[in-house]
Amino acid sequence: MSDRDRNVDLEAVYAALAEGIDAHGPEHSEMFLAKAALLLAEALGDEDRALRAIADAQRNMTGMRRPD
Amino acid sequence: MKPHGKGRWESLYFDYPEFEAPARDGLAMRAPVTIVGAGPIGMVAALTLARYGQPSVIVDAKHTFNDGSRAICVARSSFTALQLLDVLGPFLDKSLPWASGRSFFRGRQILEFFMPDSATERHRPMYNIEQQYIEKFLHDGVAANPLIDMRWRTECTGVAEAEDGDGVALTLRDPDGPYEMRTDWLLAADGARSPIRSMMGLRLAGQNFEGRYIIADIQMENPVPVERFALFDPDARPGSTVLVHQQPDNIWRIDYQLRDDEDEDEALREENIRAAVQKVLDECGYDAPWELEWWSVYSANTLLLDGYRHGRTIFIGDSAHIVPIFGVRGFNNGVLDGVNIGWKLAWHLAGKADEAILDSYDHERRRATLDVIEKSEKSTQFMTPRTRGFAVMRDAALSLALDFPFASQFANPRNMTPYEYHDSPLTLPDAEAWDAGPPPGAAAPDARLDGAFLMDGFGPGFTVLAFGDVPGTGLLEEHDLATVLRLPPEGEAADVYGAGDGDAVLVRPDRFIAARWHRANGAAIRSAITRICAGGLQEDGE
Repeated sequence: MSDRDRNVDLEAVYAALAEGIDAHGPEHSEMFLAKAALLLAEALGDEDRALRAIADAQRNMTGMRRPD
Repeated sequence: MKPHGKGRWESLYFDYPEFEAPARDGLAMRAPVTIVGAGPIGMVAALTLARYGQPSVIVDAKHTFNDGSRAICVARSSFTALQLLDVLGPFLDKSLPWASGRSFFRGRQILEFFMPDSATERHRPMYNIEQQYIEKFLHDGVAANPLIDMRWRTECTGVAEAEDGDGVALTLRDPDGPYEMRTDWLLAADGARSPIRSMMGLRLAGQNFEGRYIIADIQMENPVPVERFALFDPDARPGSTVLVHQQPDNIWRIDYQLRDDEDEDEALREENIRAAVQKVLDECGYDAPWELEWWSVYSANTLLLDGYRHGRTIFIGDSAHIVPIFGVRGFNNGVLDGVNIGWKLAWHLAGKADEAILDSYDHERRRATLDVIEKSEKSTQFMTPRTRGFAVMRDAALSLALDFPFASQFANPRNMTPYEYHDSPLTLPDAEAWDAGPPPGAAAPDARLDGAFLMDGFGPGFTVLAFGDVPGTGLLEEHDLATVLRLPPEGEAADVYGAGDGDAVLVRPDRFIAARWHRANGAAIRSAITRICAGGLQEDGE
């Protein structure tokens, strides 16, 4: 882990994203997450790292199974 | 379309002339160049040929100009071309210059953009003028030019490479019936639905976008500064985008997108057009009375021919390529097509250039179209998202743009700038490093000079900008190869071109930079012109 990574309280980010998804519901969650991604990419200021993160996010797109 | 009770040629601001076919007696049945289509691009090509002393015949089935305001945004590059063709005056008098625009999302401003402009340029980035005036002013130049044989009410119904190998055989039909004609070269400027393209069995390839737009023109007194408005998701048309442009004669253009569930025929009914326009005007806060002039519908397609030259037939303008209206690249790129083929064909017909130079038209202008398509796909995907993903990201960007300026750049229309011919066979790459200035292949910029502008002194043909002491340039003038402008090694022109003492820049007849040198001399410049006229520089090993 780099120094930079250690400064990120990912637990807080995790909870904030979850609360955002809950707050905006299925209808607007996509837009909320898209806005968050654009803002984070702008703050990151690194196109390659942003694109790598977007590619990484698309691997293993399976979560826990939810029995009906 | 026109309001109920109005004929197609009745207009609130423009008197359509009525042209007759020429008398058949004495009509030439052989021409070095025949241009099919008297739209703006066909006339630009004819005027370019005539500028260099080459005669042409133009034929058009119509009896007057195209109806409706159509292409209304004329870019600086087109004004430069009109200046070259000596027809700029009426355009300057009539058109409305502008350089900025604003975009709104749900009534809140998210972007104000300024197109690149500089006091060193004679012309502003953009001018608005209705296409009827564009055609009229070009036609005034055509009608006054003894080298151009304009044949209205004359349809081209047949085209074939002559069986005896002697040019192209055309079948033309005017009110007196059909007749045959031969031409050495054929320029197809017959528009988006080009009959010549169909007769030759050629098809445009590319993408049809789903987005449909209504364009409606109204007349309204509303004295406000000229700029371009884009309204995203306005209350007037929730879920849609609207564009507002001002034109001369108090004409306003309202473009609005049809939603996927809207029926086109229903939307085109007059009462629905009137209601839609009124809502947009209300939202803009414009409360002056208005009259409806004309409306039409278009979709945002990107289509082009695989090749622009087919033997002795060359496609120019919309017959060769169709691009989305956003970015105003249809007309403006067509003008560059017309001037590009015009000077090259003129040089070839005059015996000053090999036939190979004509292939560089396809190389340069087809790449220009591909560049337009790439750029306009970005704006089209924003204006008319093709997929759910692009729609979500568009919404994300618009909503971010209310608070964060960085996100408003997605809504920038990225308007027309000329494509640069860096990889053209006619472009000589720099042999030595240059710290500044436009590279070979770029459009030549202007600069203020002695109370006027540098480009005023450009020749009709090649122009050499010689900064300070450049030996041997007299030989270029002696052989009538180029106009030589001897310029001070310091000053605005030198700054704009990044040039110093002993440097030279070679500018092509169409005002694009072909080459530049440090420690230049007349012999090197002459050699470059010779190689350009041979159709290419790339295979030379020097």
